[in-house]
Amino acid sequence: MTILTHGVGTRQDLPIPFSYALAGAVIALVVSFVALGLLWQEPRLVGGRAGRPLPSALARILDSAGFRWTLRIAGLLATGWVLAAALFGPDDALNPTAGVVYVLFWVGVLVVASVLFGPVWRALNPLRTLHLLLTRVARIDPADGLLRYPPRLGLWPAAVTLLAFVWLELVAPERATLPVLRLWFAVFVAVMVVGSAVFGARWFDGADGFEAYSTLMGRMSVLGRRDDRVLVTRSPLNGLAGLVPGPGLSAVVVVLLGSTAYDGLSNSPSWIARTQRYGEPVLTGTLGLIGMVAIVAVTYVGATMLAGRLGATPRSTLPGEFAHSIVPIALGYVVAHYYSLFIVVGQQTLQQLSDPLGTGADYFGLAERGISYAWVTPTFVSTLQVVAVVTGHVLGVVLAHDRAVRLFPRRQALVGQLPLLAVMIFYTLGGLTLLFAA
Amino acid sequence: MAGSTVTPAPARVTATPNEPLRLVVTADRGGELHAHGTQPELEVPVTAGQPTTAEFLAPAQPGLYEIELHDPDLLLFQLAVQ
Repeated sequence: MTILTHGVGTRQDLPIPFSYALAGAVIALVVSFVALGLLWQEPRLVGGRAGRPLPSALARILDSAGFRWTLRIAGLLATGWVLAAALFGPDDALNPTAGVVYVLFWVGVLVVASVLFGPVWRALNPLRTLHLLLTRVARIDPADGLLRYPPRLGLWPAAVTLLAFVWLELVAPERATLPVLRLWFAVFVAVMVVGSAVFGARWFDGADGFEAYSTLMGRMSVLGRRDDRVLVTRSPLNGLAGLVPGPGLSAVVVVLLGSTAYDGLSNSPSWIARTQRYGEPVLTGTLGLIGMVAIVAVTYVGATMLAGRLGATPRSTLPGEFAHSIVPIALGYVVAHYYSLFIVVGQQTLQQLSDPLGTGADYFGLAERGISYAWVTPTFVSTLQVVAVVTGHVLGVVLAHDRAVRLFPRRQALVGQLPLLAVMIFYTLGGLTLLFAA
Repeated sequence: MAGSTVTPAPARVTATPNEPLRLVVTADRGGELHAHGTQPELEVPVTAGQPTTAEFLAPAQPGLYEIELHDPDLLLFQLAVQ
């Protein structure tokens, strides 16, 4: 069952020839780079110090225990609803579980809601809530575990769980069926339960790939928290610039970007024609996914470290210093890959959720409503795909430039960015070519 | 189809919404031809060694659809409806 074939556009759907789109993308990057070099010579982004405080009444509500518990209970109820369908619903094309996992949750909650409102999954995460409740009952501090979470681990476990999830989404056999989804999430929950018992709630920050993803995307929200903990509205650029580098951060962004690249590759007819003749789809898919993540890792780490030859900053810290510039690029690819899927399968899944057990119920009164295709016309989708990818890279160039003029002496700052600019052009051309595979 | 090789190699084939299509498939093994996204969903049994003809309408909604042989799954081509 491949209900989740992504509705990617074709080259013929673009309003301009594909080669023009590629040339335009490269010109946009080079022009931004030159303009930044001329006009943006001092660091302007202040990251975690930026932002205008929310009205105090609103901030008090958002920070109140009542509001926090409302979110936690909403997270528990929604999870329970889906769990009912996953455990007791029929395993057919009308079961909402796969659509919830791959579209409403993976795209809707972790990306769309996070970009709008900030790191929402941290606030909703039912496993975090259960852990909190259990520690309350046992009268222990939720932060306490048997062991201290090793700071050197940072986000590395989250990068691993994210890689495991994208493998499920893009490679695993029968990945839209209930037994496969149940098994994956059973293992995930077991890892989270054991980890949080051993290391306390800190485990969720470091090891829950879904929280890490939501938190990264949440950096682009206009709502944010300043370094002094005050709730503010701020520019997404400052939100991203406030991302604190740490162990594993680069690994997380590399996995996100590499997996979207494999998503494009695995849909291209030439890849399918080359791999399916071996009859080993799991093996070739796993190698393809790991290969794309490895290509992104080598080019990204290589380019940032090359920049370090020019400055005084220790080279090994540089991939982390520039990781925030990859986040808008990853968002651009998410929009390009998932937009039409989100609109179409998102509507279908909401209808299916109205009848979670396949009993003919219609709890939300959605059954009569058809699926609207008004916002997924081919020309609109194809144009949006190109615009999203190019905008993501231009924002990436801006963020990388600001960080470079902060870290390096001015003259070296521009030269130092050249490897990263070359890599971003390579990603743009590669990403668009895979997306619009002939 | 011979073994797991499809001739011609899988590619993107374009069609317009609801365009009548005719597909002739010859395979060295039995299976089921499946066109995703068609209404009703096209599922035609294929007998080893005998050409099978399937006539169907392209999906009504623009998008990319997979035309496959089950089981094991083998992609014949992607139908790009535009």
